[in-house]
Amino acid sequence: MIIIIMLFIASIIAALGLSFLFVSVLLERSNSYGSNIESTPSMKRFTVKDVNQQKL
Amino acid sequence: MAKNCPGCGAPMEYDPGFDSLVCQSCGNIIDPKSLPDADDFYLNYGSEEPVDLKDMVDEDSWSGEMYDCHIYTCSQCGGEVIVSGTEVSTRCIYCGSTAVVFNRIAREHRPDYIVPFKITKEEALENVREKLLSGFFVPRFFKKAEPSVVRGIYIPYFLYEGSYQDTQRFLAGETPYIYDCECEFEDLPVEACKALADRTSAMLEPYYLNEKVEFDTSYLMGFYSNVQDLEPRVAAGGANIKARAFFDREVMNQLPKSYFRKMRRVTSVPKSKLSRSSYALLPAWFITINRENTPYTFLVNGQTGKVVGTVPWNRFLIGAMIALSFIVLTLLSTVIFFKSGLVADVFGLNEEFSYRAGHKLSSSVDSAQIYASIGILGGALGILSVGFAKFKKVLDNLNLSRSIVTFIFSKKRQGDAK
Repeated sequence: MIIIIMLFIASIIAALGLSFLFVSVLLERSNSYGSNIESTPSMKRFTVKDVNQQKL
Repeated sequence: MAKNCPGCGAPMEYDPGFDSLVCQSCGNIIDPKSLPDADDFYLNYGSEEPVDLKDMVDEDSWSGEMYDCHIYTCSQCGGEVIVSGTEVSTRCIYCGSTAVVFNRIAREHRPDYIVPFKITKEEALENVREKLLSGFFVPRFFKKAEPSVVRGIYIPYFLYEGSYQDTQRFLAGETPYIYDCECEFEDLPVEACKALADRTSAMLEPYYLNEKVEFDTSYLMGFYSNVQDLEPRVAAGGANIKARAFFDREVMNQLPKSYFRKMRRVTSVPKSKLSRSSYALLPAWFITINRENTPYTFLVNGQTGKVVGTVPWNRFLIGAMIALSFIVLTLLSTVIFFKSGLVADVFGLNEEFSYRAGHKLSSSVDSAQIYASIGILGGALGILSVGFAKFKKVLDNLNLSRSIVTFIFSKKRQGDAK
């Protein structure tokens, strides 16, 4: 019986957490602009070499 | 010092829409490059050196906090304009004339490049208005509000060039991958002005610096600007951090996409070589809305139109939304809880255990139930803390618009630019 009560309490707590999460995401999209920070220098050269050519 | 219309003699302003100087009196449009450059102006007008207050005032006779400033004479009305130590252009507070203090640029730190404003004041206002109107939680006040201050400001940046080399070791599960990465880049912008919070200016990026042009004072007409007041060695630290973030991002983009999700970087041995290549002015609009004596400043990238800022939230709407989603989710979980047969399963489990093992085992099931309950409750509390943390983070971002640093940066320029 105790597990049922605890599960129910847990579901209510989780519901509260999800509500805050859901509203936070909506609020961020609605009221906050330009939060992505991105620097874009001009690239002259870029090389990536796989040292072992395959997984070691 | 203003650049005057050759036709009527009135001061001219740079208009991003025309990419030209436009006379505010007769509407004459002139290519900035057709006018004499800053040095010619300086020689032609024969302006006096800026007056240093230290030479004029006995410092001992002053009390309280002091600051460095210079006095310039307006070339239109002869009025004296007080300019703070980092200003290079301003409007005359008496006649509103655009007065460019070009001699500070020419003799101290003349920028190498400038990215002229491409976004007009109207476009910047429209971009901000669109954002505010589309925001569900934006208070009605902001949807109708008219900005109290709108200023076009050139922000000084150092541009860095250099190379970055790194051997990075990744783990995909237990499997290691090692990559040698190297890049060369130029035009990495780092803010060179102490007056504006780094975070705010960083959010204005990206600027597309392939559109930069040789500096010409004509582009400053009608706008405000600051000169560099950050030590290059301090800016170099910021350049290193930016270069590292940029490099790491690019490395991740270059890795095979199939590995991307699984990989995590475990070792990095970076070697960098950075050098300051030039000094440039980049454009931004500062739009301030006052609400109950609290300023909310939005920044708009003067080249791309990107809007940066945060508005307060409608508290009633947020509260109602949290309550509504909580009720819906609780009802949903309750229905799922009962409909899924979980209750019956638990009862069944108890009965089965009781049937098979009698009273002794029944007590051990009780402790298992307690452990399971604690685990489940812990998980639920985890979700709750994630929700609270996210909510707090979003609320903290609200401080950006209330940032007194941003507001003062915009407000302290003389004259009314609206």
